[in-house]
Amino acid sequence: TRITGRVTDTHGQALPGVTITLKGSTNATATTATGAYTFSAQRTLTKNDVLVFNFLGFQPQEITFNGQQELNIQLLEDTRSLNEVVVTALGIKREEKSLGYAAQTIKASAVEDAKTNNWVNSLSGKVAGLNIQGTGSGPMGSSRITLRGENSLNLDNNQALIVVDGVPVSSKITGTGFKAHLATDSPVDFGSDVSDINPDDIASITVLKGPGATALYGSRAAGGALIITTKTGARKDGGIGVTYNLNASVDQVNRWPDYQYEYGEGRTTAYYSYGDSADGINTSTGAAAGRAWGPKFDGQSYFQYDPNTTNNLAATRTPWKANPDYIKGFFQTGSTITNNLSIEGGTDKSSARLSVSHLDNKWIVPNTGYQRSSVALSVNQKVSDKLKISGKATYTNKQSDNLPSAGYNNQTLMYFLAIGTAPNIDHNWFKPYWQPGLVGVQQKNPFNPGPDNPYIDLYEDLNKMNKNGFIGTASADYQFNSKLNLMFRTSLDMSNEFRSQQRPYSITKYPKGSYREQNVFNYEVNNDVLLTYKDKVGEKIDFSFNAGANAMKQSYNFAGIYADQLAQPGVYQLSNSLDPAVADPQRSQKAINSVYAATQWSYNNAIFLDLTGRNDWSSTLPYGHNSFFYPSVSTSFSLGDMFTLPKQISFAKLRLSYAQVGNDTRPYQTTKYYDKIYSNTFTNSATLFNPNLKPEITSSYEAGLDLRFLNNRLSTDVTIYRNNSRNQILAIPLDPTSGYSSALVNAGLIESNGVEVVLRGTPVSTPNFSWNATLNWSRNRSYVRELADGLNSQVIYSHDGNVTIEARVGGRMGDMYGRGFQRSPEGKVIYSSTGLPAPLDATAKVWGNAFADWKGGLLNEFSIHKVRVSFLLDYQHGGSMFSQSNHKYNTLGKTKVTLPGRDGGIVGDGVVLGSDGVYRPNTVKVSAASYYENYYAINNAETNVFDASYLKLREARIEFNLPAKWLGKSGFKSASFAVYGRDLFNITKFPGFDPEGGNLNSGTLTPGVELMQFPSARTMGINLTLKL
Amino acid sequence: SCTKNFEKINTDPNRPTEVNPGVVLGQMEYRFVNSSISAARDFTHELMQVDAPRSSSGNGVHRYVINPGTGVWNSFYTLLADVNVVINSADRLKEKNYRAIGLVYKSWAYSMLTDVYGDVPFSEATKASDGNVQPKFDAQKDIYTQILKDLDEANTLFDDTKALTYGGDNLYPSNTLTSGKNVGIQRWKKFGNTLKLRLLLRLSKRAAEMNTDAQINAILSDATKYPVFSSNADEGVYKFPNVYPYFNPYYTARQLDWRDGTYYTKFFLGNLNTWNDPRRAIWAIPVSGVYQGIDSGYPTTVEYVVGKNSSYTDALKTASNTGVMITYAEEEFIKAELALKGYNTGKTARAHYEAGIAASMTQWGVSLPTGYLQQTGVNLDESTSVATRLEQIITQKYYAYFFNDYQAWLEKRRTGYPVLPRGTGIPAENQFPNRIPYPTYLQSLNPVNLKAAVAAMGGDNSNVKVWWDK
Repeated sequence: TRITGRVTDTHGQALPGVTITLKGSTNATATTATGAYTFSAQRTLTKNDVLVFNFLGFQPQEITFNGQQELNIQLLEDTRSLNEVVVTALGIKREEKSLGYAAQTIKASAVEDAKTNNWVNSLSGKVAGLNIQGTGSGPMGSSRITLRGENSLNLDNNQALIVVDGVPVSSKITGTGFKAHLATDSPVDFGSDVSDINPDDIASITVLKGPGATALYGSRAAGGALIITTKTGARKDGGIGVTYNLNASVDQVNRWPDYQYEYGEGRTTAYYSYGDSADGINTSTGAAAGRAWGPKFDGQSYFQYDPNTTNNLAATRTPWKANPDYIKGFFQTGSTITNNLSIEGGTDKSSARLSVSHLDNKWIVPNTGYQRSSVALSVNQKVSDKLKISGKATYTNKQSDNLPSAGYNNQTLMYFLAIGTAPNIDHNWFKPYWQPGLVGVQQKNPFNPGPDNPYIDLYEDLNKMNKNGFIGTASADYQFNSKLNLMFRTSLDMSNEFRSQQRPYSITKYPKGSYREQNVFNYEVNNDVLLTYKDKVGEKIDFSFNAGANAMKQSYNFAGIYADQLAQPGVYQLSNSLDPAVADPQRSQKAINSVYAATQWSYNNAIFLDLTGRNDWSSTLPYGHNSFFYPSVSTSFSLGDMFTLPKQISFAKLRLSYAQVGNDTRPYQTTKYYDKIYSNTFTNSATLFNPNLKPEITSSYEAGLDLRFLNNRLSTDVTIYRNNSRNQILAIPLDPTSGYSSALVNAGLIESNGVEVVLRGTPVSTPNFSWNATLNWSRNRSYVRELADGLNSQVIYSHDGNVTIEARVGGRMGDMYGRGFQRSPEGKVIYSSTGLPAPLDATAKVWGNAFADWKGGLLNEFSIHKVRVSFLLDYQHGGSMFSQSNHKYNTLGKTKVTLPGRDGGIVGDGVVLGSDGVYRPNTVKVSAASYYENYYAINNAETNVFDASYLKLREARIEFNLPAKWLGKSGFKSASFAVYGRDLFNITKFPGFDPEGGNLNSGTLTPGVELMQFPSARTMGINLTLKL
Repeated sequence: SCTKNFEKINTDPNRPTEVNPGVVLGQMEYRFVNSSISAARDFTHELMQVDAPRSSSGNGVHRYVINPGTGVWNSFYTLLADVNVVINSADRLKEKNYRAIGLVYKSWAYSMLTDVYGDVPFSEATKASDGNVQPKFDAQKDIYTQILKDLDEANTLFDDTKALTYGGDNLYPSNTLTSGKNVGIQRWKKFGNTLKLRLLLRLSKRAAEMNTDAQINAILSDATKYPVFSSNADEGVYKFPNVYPYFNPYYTARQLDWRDGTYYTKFFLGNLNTWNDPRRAIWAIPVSGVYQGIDSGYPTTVEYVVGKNSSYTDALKTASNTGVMITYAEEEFIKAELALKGYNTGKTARAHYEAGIAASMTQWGVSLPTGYLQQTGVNLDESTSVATRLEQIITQKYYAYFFNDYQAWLEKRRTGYPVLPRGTGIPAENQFPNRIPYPTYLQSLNPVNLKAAVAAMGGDNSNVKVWWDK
């Protein structure tokens, strides 16, 4: 009997190398490169015979012979193959079964399918315990990646380490030195090396969540690690493989604050007048200062702005009406087009893959966006039976002609939109942004003179960048014999970035313009050597031993040159500096040398034991006391191999681990230095150095249970952990009369407890229809147990004192403190006799926590014939955010919440304390303007901190795979077409744009406080993949 | 593992571990006046009814509500650490002139701290690197005693034959010699003695126990040993060069913040209007041709319209001469008061008074109009009572103190002049402040010493009088 056919995966992709075996015999064959096979039975088959299709990484399929001559099979991917190989710390590949700690692997499709500007953001909702914190600062979409909460009081220490093919890649955001709230200039999100990675080159990502998994990485991975493996060339006996991918998407603002369009500019509802007019004195421009407490749009006419007269004063009254585009008109539909082409091939001795990619982004804010081009090469060569050499290199160029300034300040669009305009104003009136006859010299700002003209912000205040980055690794692997292996690897992450910021004459913060340049050079080299010995003791005990060493060196060189007054307007060159241009050099170096050893033991392939130890010497710690050691132990018990489990349980694993990871500090903290000020003078440092600093130490306990039922159709993986971080390096406040405002000390204990649950199910699994569902759920609580002696609170972030994120002993990490209303014993708001809320309660209280209570992501994937459908729901419960947008929009009367009481005033709901000590209801009516200005005042955290819970339709995607017969002789092996959307719905009670906000404070992404974030966008796109 | 080059790797390539006094002095001088003149603009001008906020629904300085820790506390203590660096590096390098300039700054800054807050950390302050992170507070009397000694030491150290070896002085031309003499150092010496005269006068209620008469007479009688300011050229005004980084700190202030939120008061403009004072046009913007002010201490329901009253001119944002520390005009007004009280200053009180007015005009770039001094209210009629003449002197001194840190308030506390109208919106229980309460963070960062100081002072509110005011 002969049977022919083709084996594909559920996407219709050919599967070469699938073995087809007649059950109970050795009679077998395999599929070719196109997935085709011919099975020649050595005997006549009957209806009792079963053919078994087997392929690594796929669920085996058994087909009962039914007289078929053609048998086309779709194999389902086995998402939880028992002997799945997981890439762990240092790139050591391990069987998942043997791991004593939580590791979650995500497929390439997670970052390829529904693309976003920063691939990191595609991980949201897909990993239990992973938190992606965006800031809404611009097209680069920089975000903070944390695992298992916040263990260090220094927010920058809590980010996960990103390792690409063994190369630690910098997630450092080099800021321009400005904070997000009212600095001279505003921060710009220039992205990081991590955000430059091309998602099309990613093959898989393993998330190592805790210190148990990352102990071998040493101090840098105290916050967990994302281990990225990029694509390599696959063996293509039939020739080369070519893949072309086109991704095109559009972005639109997906959510607006609830703006009102019923009342116009002014502080009085009596009348409106642009400039002094027959109706009365000016109620617009500086007199209104961005307020929308003016008259109702009621069909009346006023003297308004006239773009056609020389002084813009209207000669006649014109109808008073709202302009629904007065804010929305400043945004556009963004677009991103990505082209990606890869070529790969290989033989039994070597393989190679080359990919080129180009991305062109135009963002939702006019005249902003960026382009990214990258080339990646991966080669593997078996030089001899024992020696393998491989190398990977990625070159990336990223450039932008303008990235927007972010934050609350002059020069940012969002600041202008809050305080510079009002519903009666036509956004086109701002378009001639120079005064007539004074082009390039004097801006025209016809309304509130506070913020700069928005079109100056967009078209003249340019922030440019051009970055060249290289990530590469070369390794040699020598297999002495079947037991002993030596690996040597050197890897490099290097980038050089040129930036410039230009500001024209007459903008508020730079009356004579400004031009700044920065060259930012980042360099990290790692040299690793790793010796591995594997052997057996008897039949049942396997063991291996690894010993290695690592030498890491980092260099950072920031060379800023500033011309903050220009001799000639509009000429953006350093030579055009009115004063001598000022240099701002910042260089730093850091080195860590390490040795480590690890050993793994297994008994009967059922009980596994890992021990690791690592010693680091860090240059940043006091010389002579810079050595620190930390161990880990982890165990895994495969219960099915130890006991007889009920038939329904197909797999059960219990894991336990304990680990310590140390963490060093920034360079140059252990000696006294004088701080540079004004480029060439010096001042006593504000922070008292500490010659006795010790490393921070995080200890972690973790237990997990992995249970799979019904032939792996249902599985659950539960992890609980506790992390204790001690000896934190803190800058504690000092009485400034001591001459220093802070001192570096080792102190504190942060305890993080959490639970992570991954639940997977395959409710339906047939060749023509399958349904996979994955639920990721996690909850983390980080408590502040101790601080330095006598210190009860450590401020982690302060929004100019209006709200602070503080670590207080006994409190949680991320607690947000601020002031609120005074309350009577009955809990009513206390009003003063004037009808406005009494001065705020002097005692700061907790109004929320910057971090979520729990997060959940639900991914559903359906396969229906050649069509794949998937959607991802992402939910955050709790977490709070202070909204500067809310404060500003409400105090200026721009939102619907400020409508009640506009006509006739408002009697606030509260009580007044009489001189007799009795509280009586407030009866004094005040104007809506003074009521809301007072109620939503910036220092009132009670009315400006909001629950940041949200439910988002994070991704939705439909993919069609063209049937092979359609492709016919076109030469394409496969073709697929997909339509996708990201962030399609954002259901939340948060009043600002997006509850997933934060702010970019120089180079630190700060959660919990949004300072005029940009709107969040919904992305809709198509994706076309062709394979030759 | 090899760490032999780690010490080098962990040595900052951008910051020095040792500095000379020249690279510290310039920024320190600039930052001191930035802080002191913002205290003038934000606090003294509002309290002393130079200006008032356009709208003020809360409490406000003009209603005598003084928040703890406002003012120069943080900035001055930070900069006093730099003064220490100047003095210590000067000692290391045997540079007497730098040490003397450091002592003058130390005296100027600590006298202001103690005048504003009362007892403050002094003898143990700025010694964190020696291990003292919670300094004790010294009694005001002890602080004054040491300041007067320090100023004497500075007076003897100044050497006008030597240029400042490492440069750095931006206040006076003391980095180089002019015809073999250091004119800048000569002026520094005058600065120190004029400051000493200011402080001795401030101690008038404690004259006996501090033996101030002898010290005042010593200065007045020996101009060679104790030279004081003798012309506007000597004045202690930090002149902003308006090149990076030494801009007038307000040069980028927005209209919103600079003049739409604050207006001059009726009180302040009233006298200037009566006297037709030429300084008026330098300081204030006319509205429809007139200089018009608002009330201070108005009720919370009042809100003034934008742009309809006089506020600070935009020229003051970039003016080079607002960095006022101690002026020749003040020196003449000090002498006028001393002469009035019978000290031998060599001239009459009236002569000093008129020279003070003329010096202030010159300082602000205008000339004394003919007939100005003869006007009623300006004319110092020697037939009137001493109290009346003192009021006139201090009132003119008040105008001469424009942008001069806390001095107008300190003199008001000492003399009671000028007499300020009390706004109808000031709650009855609010008193004109005698000091600023300590910063609240001291309660957690230096609690024991704070408690002792509060006990010694007799409380920590703005009604408590400091030692020289009792």
